[in-house]
Amino acid sequence: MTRNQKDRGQSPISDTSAPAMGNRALTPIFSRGHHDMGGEPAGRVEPTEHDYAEWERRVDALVVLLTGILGPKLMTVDELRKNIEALGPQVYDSTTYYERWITSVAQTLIQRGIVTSEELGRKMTETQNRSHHDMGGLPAGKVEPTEHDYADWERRVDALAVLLNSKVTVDERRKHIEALPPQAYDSLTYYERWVISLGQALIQRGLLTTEELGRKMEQVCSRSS
Amino acid sequence: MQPQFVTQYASGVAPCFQVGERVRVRKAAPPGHIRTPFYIRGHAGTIERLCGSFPNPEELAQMRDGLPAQPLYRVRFRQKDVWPDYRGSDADVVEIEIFQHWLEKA
Repeated sequence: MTRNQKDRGQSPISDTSAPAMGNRALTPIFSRGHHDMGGEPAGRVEPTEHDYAEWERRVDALVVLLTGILGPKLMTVDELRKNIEALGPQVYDSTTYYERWITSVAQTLIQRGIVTSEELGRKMTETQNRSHHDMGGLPAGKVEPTEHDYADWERRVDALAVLLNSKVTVDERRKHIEALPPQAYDSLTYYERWVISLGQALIQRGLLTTEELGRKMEQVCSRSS
Repeated sequence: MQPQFVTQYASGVAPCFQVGERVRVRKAAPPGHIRTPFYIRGHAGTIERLCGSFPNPEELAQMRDGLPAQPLYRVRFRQKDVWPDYRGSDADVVEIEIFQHWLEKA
């Protein structure tokens, strides 16, 4: 009699006669989900006050809108939960609350056929490839509007751009501002970016050479020192 | 527009437990999204109230309508029954909202 014949008709769970199996045969295939950690050993919970990042507020708003609290229902919170609970334990532990939410929203919308994996992949690549200056909609601090006057040199840069309008278009100037490396872009002020882009545009138009501009800058710098 | 929270569903399962009745939580572990915490499965408690009937979240999670709506109860458990090493008062309880299909007469 082969082992298979002997075991036929017996539930594997009731078969405790095979010592090689140990407790394995008694272990259910599905047990506690990793997320379902109530009562498990854990450190002390330290409650902290914190504000939400702008992107976190946006993820929350997205879920409110998608679950149809105010309009048509495109998904349920149960689907949101299901896809959070389907994350691998390592991913679950290494992501923050709203990171889990947005991952799950993406999965749910794919399952629902509202977006395709391909569309989402393309959009994610597009976002990653976006130019540094094109920061609309990205997480950012609060914009604090302030009143301020312009320095004399700033007024002159503005006037220069107006006067050169027939020689250099505003789009050319923008192109050169947008070509600045992110670090330079972030560390320069508004009119500093303008004057750099004006110089670049005049060089490209052949109205000025790099050499001329370089010499003039040397001259000015040595005069002021 | 005001948020709408529906608690009455035309197609619903009739409630079969009364307030004060002893019930036991099924000790099951199916795959999928489950709203019954793992730690309470297998424990006995008392029906504290009927909260209303709601579409079954296990079905909603699979993109189905979750109907017929299932009665949802608030069930009260003694902390001492749930946690063998519980050091608080005998009077301490934990209340959990559990759907009818997870409950059996104790």
